[in-house]
Amino acid sequence: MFRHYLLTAYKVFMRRKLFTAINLLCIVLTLVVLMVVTALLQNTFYPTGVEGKSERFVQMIMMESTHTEKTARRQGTLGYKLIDQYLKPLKNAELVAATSFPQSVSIYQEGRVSDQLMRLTDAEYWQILDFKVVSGRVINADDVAQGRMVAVLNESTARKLFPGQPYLGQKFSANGQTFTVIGVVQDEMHVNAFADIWTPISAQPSSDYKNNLFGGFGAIIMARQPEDLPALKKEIMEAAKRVQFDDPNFFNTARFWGDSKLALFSRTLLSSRAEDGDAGTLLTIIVVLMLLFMALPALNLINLNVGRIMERSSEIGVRKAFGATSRQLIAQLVLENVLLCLIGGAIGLAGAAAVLWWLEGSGIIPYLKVHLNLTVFGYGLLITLVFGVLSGVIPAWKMSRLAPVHALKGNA
Amino acid sequence: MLRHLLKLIWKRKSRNMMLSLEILLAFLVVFAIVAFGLRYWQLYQLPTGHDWKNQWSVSIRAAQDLPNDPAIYDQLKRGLLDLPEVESVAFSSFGTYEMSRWTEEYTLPDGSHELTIDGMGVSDEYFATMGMRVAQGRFFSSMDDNADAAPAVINRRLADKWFPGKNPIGQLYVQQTRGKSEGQRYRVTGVVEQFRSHGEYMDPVDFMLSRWIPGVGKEAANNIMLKLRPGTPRIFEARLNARLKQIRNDWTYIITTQADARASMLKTQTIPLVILAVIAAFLLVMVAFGLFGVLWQNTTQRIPEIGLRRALGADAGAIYRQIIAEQFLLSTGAMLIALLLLVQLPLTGVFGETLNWAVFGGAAVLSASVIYLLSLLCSLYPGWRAARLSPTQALHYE
Amino acid sequence: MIRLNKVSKTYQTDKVQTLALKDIDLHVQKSEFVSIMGPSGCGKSTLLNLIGLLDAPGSGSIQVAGTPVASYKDKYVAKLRNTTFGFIFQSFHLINDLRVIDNVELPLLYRNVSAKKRQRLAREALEKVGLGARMHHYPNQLSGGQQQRVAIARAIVGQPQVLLADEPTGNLDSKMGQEVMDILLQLHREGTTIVMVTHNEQEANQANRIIRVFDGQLVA
Repeated sequence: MFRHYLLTAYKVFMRRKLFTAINLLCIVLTLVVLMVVTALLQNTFYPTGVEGKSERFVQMIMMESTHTEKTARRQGTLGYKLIDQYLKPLKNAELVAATSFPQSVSIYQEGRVSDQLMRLTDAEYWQILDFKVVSGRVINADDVAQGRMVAVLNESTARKLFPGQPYLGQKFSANGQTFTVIGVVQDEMHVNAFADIWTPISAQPSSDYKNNLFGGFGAIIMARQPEDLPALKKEIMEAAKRVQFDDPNFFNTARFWGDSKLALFSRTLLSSRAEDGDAGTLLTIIVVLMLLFMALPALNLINLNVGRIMERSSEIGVRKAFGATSRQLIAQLVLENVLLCLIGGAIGLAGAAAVLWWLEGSGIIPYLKVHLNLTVFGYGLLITLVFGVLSGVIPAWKMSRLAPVHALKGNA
Repeated sequence: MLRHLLKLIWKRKSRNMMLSLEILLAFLVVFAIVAFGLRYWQLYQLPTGHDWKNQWSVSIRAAQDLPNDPAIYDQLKRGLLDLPEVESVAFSSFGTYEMSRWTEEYTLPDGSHELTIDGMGVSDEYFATMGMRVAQGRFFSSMDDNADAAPAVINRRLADKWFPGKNPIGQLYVQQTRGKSEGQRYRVTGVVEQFRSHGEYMDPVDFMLSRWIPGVGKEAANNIMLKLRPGTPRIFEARLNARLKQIRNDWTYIITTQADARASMLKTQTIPLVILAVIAAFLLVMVAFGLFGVLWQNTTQRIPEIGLRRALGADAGAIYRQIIAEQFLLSTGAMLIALLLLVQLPLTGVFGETLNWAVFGGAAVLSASVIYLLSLLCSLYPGWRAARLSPTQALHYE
Repeated sequence: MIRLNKVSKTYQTDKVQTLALKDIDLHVQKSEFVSIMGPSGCGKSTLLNLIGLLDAPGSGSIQVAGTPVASYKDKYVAKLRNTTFGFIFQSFHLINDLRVIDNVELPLLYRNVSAKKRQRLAREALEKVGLGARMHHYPNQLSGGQQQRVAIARAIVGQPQVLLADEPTGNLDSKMGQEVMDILLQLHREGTTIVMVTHNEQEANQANRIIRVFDGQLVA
């Protein structure tokens, strides 16, 4: 029976080749876009590579300060003192890293000024994230303790600043401070990893940063194993209650959350103060947007399918006259549509891979690296099936309801 | 003929519904983008009120809040003017072409007509440094030392709002503090035509430039604005940084040329437009496919009818024209409904000045052209196929 | 009125050549009522199509109303069709999405007649076939006989010189069929030239003359 359906489907497609081609093109275009988006999201929320340990660490970039009796509210990035005093001692944490956000610095070289992005980090940063070291070494605890003026560059920046020369040992001036290159790492683009230059947190013009509860830093907190994460998150929220403010008249209550990548995005985008950052809501929004996106192409397909089914009304009439039930007819028609969608999906996957490859090369998002893994493929398949069923069901149901006599006459 | 076609389309409206819906959606999306783009173009034509070509800004970053110490600012000013490339030095609370913004509520002295005004504190030299021209009155200076109210320069828009028909120079207004303490009083010394600190794409707002004096008041100025000699190369930044470090070594200086800041800001602001345009292009391609496929299908189904019309004396051209005309009428119908919905926006003023009638009209015309073009392209091939049928073939079509 | 001179027609489908008509010589006088008869597939429909300029002959010439058909270019032929002929088909070929009156006015649309005049002429034609009361109905609300009468009204609304009917009663029962024949005979009495293809011996006999076709050729 299945083979019969396959054969019929093939004949139907071949009967009107241009039609089928249009249908297919529509499907492929939609699926390529959806799959590219899925791959990008998958790589952002569940990364492998440099932030591969994401399932066992959380990050914190904002803290909320309020007053129990006043209306003032401040949402800001963390100061080093906060991280040092309240986060580093957490029991469930194996490592706590502090990092600034990438900031634009001017690099002064002989006759040339370049703008690069620099991050200030401590040594734990390099232990939590898995950078690929191309040459030299990364910043260690000793560098931070001594406040050494050393720097790690990524490959592109090293090439840009010192073309054709050996990188290690080179000196450059950033915003007036002189640093020495001690290591070169591979280019990376991710939430915590993205930067052109890394320098120790203590290599700043002034050491006042250590005394500030508010500052331009974020924290990465890693547990010993992924199962410890819930306990860690709870401990982080508890730690907020112990925060002592410098001026309790201004603010006296603090709240912060350790977030997974997904929760981080949802908390920022939705301005959430829930414990999980309303991560579920963000996912729901994404799914709804994808369905909406599919709506127009699905509408197209429904239109085209309805017309095509009208053409086959005599075939359908005959099947009905010889005993096919409505259910069997719907199944047949939906199957044909799903088949076309699967073919489109396969082409779409190849297309998505091509688009991602082009995206990586074009530099629109610098240092982008997207890995297509089985999970992405699985999501792609799911999307294709949903699409196929959605656009096949309505026309199929419409046609199956036709009385055989009308179908055989060719009217509708 | 028109009436005849309309009768046909109306009777077949349920079949045409889905297609009309697609066209409606596409029109709405194209309209949104074109309106966006047109508004940006409109804004770009308006002046920003200040120069940028030879201006550089230095943003001071320190671990603690900057102290408002007049000695330091004097040192900075003299140290910088010492450099031959520097023509003028001024201080401000933040720079132009940055995302920073400071707004607060102000009222007339009697407490009426409260407005939210964008403000920036600037030193006396700011106007010369930024190449600004006063339209009425004068810029503040040391003449205003010991004045009873803080001097301020406001833009024309604000002057017209608060003092329509009157001379704004010398008028007072007050900072709104909601009763806690006496709000700061300001006196208007001058009016500029326009001042937009976020650049060419910023919506016009009410703006005030208040006088900042080194040593007076708690807030220090975090930004240095410089006017440089024309043709100063970018590498001057190294010397500039070195000089600044000489004065205060423990501060960090972020030096940006206004040309770069402007380019970067314009780019950032056009990103949403670009993203929307990409999405719209995708949607249009989908609609084009759908239109083409459905049109072709329709003509196939109507082959007997076409044959009949040929038998009755319609030539191939008439058939071709009919198919295209029907498609145009369908698109027009969908677009009229869309416009009916859209016209509510400027009528109710939901988007305020952003969607003014000029933008609306322009966007409507341009979007309609796009949709008509699409309709034409998609009906060309099916129409041609329909017209090529011989009457006998069509009449006996199985 | 209509003169065919040594007209032949060959059809090419895939690799098969079919000779539909061979060396037809035919003359239909003005105001004549001619029946064309023959078994299925003998070419009588093809003959009617050629007469009605729906198709071009492979060889030979055709004269309509005294003038030879100069070219078979689409524009020229379409105009001729519109002004000279009125068609009636076996399967009616009414447009189901249009009301009866709008169906009837169809030929006038291709003649640049004003809307008001079109509706007036259509109404008159419908009254002539006795369906004035059904002007605003849709075709699928009418019986087969009524539908064919609407088709006849459409065929005569432009006052053509010749009516071409291809098995007009083929889809109707005997009673409705006779209704249709009555109208045709009435029109004939008023001076219209009619060429009718039919299966029905009894109906064919109601015409002035019977032309028999067999295997693409005229039979005596």
